Amino acid sequence: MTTREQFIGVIGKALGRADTPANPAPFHWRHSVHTNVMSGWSRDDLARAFIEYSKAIGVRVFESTGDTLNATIRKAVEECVSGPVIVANDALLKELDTATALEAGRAVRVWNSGGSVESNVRFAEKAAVGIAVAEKALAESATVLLFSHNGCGRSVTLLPESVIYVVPESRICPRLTQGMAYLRRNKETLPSSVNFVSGPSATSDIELVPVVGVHGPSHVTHIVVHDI
Amino acid sequence: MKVSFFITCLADNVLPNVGIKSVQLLEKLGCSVFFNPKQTCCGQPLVNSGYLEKAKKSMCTLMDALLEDDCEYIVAPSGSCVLQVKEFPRFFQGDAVWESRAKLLADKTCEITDFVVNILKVTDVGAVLNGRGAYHPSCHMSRMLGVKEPPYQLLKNVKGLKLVSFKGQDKCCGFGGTFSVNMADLSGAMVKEKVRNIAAAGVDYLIGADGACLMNIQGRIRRENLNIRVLHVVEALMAG
Amino acid sequence: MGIKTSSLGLKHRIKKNLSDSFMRASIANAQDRINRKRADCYAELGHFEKWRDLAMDIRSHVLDYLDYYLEQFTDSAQKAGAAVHFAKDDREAVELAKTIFLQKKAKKAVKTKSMVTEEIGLNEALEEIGIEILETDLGEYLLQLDGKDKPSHIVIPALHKDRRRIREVLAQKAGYKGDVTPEAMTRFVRGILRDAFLSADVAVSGCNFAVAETGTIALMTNEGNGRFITGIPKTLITFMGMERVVPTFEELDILFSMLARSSVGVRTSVYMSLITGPRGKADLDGPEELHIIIIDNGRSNVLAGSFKDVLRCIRCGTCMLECPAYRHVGGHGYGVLYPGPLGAALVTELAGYEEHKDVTEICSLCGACNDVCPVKIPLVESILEHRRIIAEDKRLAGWMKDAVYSQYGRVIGNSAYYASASRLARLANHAPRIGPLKEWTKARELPKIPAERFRDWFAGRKRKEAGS
Repeated sequence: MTTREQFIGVIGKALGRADTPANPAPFHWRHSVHTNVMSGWSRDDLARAFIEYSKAIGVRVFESTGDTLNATIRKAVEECVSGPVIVANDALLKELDTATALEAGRAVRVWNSGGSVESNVRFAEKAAVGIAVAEKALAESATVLLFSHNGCGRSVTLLPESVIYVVPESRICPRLTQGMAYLRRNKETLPSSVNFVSGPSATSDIELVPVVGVHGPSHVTHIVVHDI
Repeated sequence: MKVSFFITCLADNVLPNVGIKSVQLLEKLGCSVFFNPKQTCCGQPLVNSGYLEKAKKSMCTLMDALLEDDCEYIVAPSGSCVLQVKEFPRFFQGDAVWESRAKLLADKTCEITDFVVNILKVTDVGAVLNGRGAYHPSCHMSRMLGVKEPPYQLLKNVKGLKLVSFKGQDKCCGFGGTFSVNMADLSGAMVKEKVRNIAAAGVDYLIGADGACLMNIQGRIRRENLNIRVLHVVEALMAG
Repeated sequence: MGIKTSSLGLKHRIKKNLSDSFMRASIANAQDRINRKRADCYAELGHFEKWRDLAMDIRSHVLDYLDYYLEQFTDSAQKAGAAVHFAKDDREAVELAKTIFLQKKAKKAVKTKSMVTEEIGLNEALEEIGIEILETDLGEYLLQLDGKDKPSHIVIPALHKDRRRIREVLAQKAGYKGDVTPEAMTRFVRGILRDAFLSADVAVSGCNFAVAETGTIALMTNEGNGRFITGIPKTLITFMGMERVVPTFEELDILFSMLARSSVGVRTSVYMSLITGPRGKADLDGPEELHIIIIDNGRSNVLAGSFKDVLRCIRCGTCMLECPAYRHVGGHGYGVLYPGPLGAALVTELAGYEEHKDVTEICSLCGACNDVCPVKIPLVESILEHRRIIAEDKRLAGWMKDAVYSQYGRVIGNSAYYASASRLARLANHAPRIGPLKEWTKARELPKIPAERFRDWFAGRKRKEAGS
């Protein structure tokens, strides 16, 4: 089998050198078109754009404040198919005690709040609704940035038929450019699984007809919280 | 202005009227036109099949012929052949004798509508042509040589001519030089679609600026017995 | 599957696909729709040329320092807990995968769509040792179910299949009883694949990009199978073409932004999954092991040669969606894994001229692909350069062809020969319709060759002027 040294050596040879350079010339950005998109937009402008495009890609949108967030989440959950709810073990949702607020009428479980590892995944598998909080959100593409870790497993936002993302308005930035810059700033502490998610799972593989819900959630809700 | 006319081998042999109308147009606009009969072919059929080296002799012959009369400009009624001439400096890069001549020729050579609009600064040549016409922008001229607007600028001012657009207007007609015979079935499928779209636009004329594409499209129009006249842009500009 | 996907000769392949009217209508429809969406999407974004410059610069920069970035990527990925393996060719890549499967005693695997795994023939090799490997991209799943049909487009693999054919396959092979709507059929497949995700021992993915600074694997999907693959099974094996690296997340921004827009004309794909190592120590789900297999398989030869620019490719499929030749013969017309202008520019580099030289013929040199490639690969120039290399090897090009073109070159190289030959050409109106004339007249009439050439007219006019 080819070793790392042999493999890289062949590439070096193809590039006409014996040793790998210690430091390449840094990449030179000759344009700044990406940083100019929505540059100078106010927080309100960005929230409007995020909401508008969310609707355009088939995402249900609720607007809320911190005070009314639990009530809004409840309303959003009621609009999803009936069944159990899995809630991310997130600081904001914990502070609001969202899980307790939802308990009337539905089985609710907070991810990683007890029980075996398997039981967490099994619950998520059977859940009708998953609830998580966006790490960041991108106005241009109605995208939420999602960190998966012990507090919010991959299963929470992947297995249920419906997913509700709580999006604090202060976390909405213009586009992927700021999202990626955020990841780079936090590169030392990145969780193993990071996802940018924009609306429901979709396919056009049969005759180019758009169909939602091929693997992941078929229904996505964004709750924009204006004062957080 | 002294202009050396580069007829291109296809127009010389198959579409002489394109050459005749070009000369008449240039003269009407005040140019004195030279034609050097030593010119042959730009070598494009060879180059596009991979035989660059075998094409070089014809390129040198063409350079000598077109530069001999020492005109300010060299004008051709084909964007594709002009594009080829513009590539000569790359083909002769590092050649002590020919690189500089190739550069000189490339700098002086101009496609005819580009020449009329951008050098002579004329957009209305006083032509009259009654009916509906569609313009097919050939790939080499519009996309690769970058001459997009001049034909439209000139045709817009032809009295009586209503220019219409059609589906897939800027798509290749399927000619592609030797491609049209090497890949005849595929090339045929491409020209069939092109002509279907032209016919659907309900036009009296199909106008283009490259003889090769026109020969291809016309061949299909004749096969289908359609009542659409195929004109080179200079023929439209000298009508009436 | 490997690079070669058809045993038919060029002309037969073309004829066969030209006669598939559903496929042609479907591809024409896809081209028209997606090309319009893409154009609108870039118009709304603005500054297309500048975005292309950035994307091209990033890819060129990475290729110039590929040794450095691969070292950096490997270090970072290992630090994050991934096992990184190196494969110089398809055989080694497949062996590495087999070893992991055997170690894990794995029997069932799920897989995302990945061109590089197709290139190395992974599925066939794993099936040989008794592993059940299921494609999870809807299009790829349908092709697999239909007895190993082949993808006809690198982004929309089942483009050549209509709903009736798909309904038939699902009914025969998977017991489907529902109606013919894409919605119902998709729902049905969802159930099958959901079970597969939850019961698979190993997940196999490709890799759109790899971030050197953090050792991150980046996957784009719309269906979400990229998330399932990287989220549920206990072992994840990622196959990565060695040129997929980007320096940091900041450059990834540009390439992701372009890939979504160029491939299907949307602002973003639904999911962009970024995987840095296996699951964290305290995580309850996610893969416990992550293996990354970095593959050369001919790429270092490309890097060393005059087609280096082609390695910039981000596999968006735009060039084929713009290509007027692809429009009529579809992906299968090319008979190779990578169709369209990309295929014509790349395949002979990866798999040699000997077997694949004719792919370079399926191009009218119209240049439409060059204008839309998000990383500005000079596709037409590359195809022409391949033709030149083939032509200069008489054995490859054929002695006869060489002799014909030599003669043609001699005639147009000499003014006197040319003048006599062009006089002779006046007789062509009566020539028998054989050889090239026969080919030309399959779809169109020959032009009528006039008695008088332009040069005769011009000389006559000059004589008259001199006389008067």
